[in-house]
Amino acid sequence: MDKIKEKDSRFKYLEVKVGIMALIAIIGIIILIVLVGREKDLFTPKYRLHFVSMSGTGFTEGMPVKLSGFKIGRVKSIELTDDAKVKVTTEINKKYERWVREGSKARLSKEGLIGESIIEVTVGNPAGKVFADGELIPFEKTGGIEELVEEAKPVLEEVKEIIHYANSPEGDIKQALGNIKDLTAELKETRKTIEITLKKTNNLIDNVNSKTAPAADSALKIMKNLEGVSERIGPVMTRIEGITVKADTVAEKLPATLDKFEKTVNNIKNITDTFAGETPRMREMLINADDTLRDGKTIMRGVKQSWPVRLMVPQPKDPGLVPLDGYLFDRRMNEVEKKK
Amino acid sequence: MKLKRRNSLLFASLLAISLAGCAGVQKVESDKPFIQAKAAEANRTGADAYARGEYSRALDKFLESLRINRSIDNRAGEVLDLINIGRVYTSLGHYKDAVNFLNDSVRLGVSLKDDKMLSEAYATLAKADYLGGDSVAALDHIAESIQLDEKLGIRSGAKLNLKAVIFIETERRSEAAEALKSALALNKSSKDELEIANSCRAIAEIHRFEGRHDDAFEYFKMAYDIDKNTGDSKKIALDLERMAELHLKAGRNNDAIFLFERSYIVNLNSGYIGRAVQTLDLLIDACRISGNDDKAVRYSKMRDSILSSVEVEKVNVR
Repeated sequence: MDKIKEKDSRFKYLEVKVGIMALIAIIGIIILIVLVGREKDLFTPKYRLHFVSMSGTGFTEGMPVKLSGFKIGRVKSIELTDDAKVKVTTEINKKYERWVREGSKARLSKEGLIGESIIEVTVGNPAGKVFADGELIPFEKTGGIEELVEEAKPVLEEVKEIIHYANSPEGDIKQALGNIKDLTAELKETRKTIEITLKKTNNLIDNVNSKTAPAADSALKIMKNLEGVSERIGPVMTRIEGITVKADTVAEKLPATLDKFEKTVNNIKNITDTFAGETPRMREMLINADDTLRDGKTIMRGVKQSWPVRLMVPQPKDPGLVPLDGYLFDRRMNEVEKKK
Repeated sequence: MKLKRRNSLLFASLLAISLAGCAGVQKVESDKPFIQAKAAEANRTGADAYARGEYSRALDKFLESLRINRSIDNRAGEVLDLINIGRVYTSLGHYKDAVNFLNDSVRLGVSLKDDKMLSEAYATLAKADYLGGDSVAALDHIAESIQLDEKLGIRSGAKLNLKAVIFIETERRSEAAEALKSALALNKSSKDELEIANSCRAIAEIHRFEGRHDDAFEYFKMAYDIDKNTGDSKKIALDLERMAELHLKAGRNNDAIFLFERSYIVNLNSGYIGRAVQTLDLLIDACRISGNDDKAVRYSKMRDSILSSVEVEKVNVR
């Protein structure tokens, strides 16, 4: 070894050189670990908060905890309690603790329509106490679309019932409408008779001007016509009375029906309000989904057009004309087909 | 070791594909080619539907393509769509609509100075004109189309076939025969099976009109053999019916009945009820001529039942 050192100066102080190299490598690794650790918040002081949920569906270890869209921690562990509930322990960066105060709530949420699940923590009351390590943060169960649909179900049932009631031939509404229709028909008939009588009266006046003699006869005829009219009005009036009685019955039942309507309308209003509250989120979710699909499509097209995938995917034909078909079925045959 | 190498190769390929994919994404960023590609896709779907005989779907797709092409001012695509729509309407028997769209395509073709498309538009217009009852305009338009093709140095067997068939229908059979001779040669050289069958059928029609029944039968048989391969049931039924008529004329009654029966079944199964009834009429006559009255009565009942079910359907539709 000494001989080699004497012959080749590069082997002098070899141990020192290797030591320096190893030291530089170790320092490099340490710097890398520190940088990555800082990036991943490995060295940030943390504290733990937990909450209890009825179900563990949607929770995974390591899932992000966000506050106003910022990642403030992650789910550390999920465990089943003695009473079969789910205890979710989160690890929150200490630097965000000032926003997690009394009044803060945790809830399971999604980033976009097909985005990942997150735990969303709301900002607490500024005057409230800051949560300490190991404390319980209230968990709020959020209503998804499924719940809204469930909520809408009884209302739809009610609407269905009312429509059925309104459509029922034995129902008051249908009967009242039928009576009104009959009454209208009778009134039309009466109006016609009165019109005829008035016309005859006009003719009579004309006749009175030209012939005074048969005036008495005509007057008699008019009287007879009027009698006829009054005779026909009689039964109509009786029917109107009958209808009035029925209308009274309908009127008695109307308040109850109206109450039902009012309740239903209120329910619908509540649901509409809930939907309106969810609309901006749903819109955002749809926009996100649309963007994701568009991106996916673009990437797929890109991949399809690139080597070597484009060699495997059959290239689409250029747009073209459908065949002309130089044969004509005679017109007679076409007409036969059209007639049939 | 081998497995490790294979995994590395797989990883490298995946990396290359992803990188190439990313490079591809850069290329297709602009929106216009993307929209144009959508129009092309609609066109292709329409053409596929047309080939399967789904004319309503084809029409929807061509109209969609037309709308997209108009929105991005792709006039070459627009003229193509207008002609395709004209062809679909002709197949659907809506000749007036076809003529309207085709006239638009002619106007656009003239403004674009696209003689090739103009020729296609005129040829389709000739077909729609003739089927719509205007033989004079049909002959003018097909002549215009062929003239444009000559200017471009193109010879189309399909257009010559079309011209010949219009000649046959207008009883100018010698001119038709001449056109068909050239058409058949052209179609054979371009191996266009559909048009070879059309030429054969048209030649057979001329022989039939002029009483050369054996020649007519031979050409109908040739057309039928090709149509069987292309699967055009409308034409298969027609070929069978014509061959049956020729059998009947030659006194081969049983052969005639057999072919009429097959033609009837093809029409019925393809949904051409009107034609099926028409073939059934010919079949009943053939049965009576051959003294097979029982069969004639059976087919008459069948005919009545089809007609009554069609009537019921009409009432239901109303």
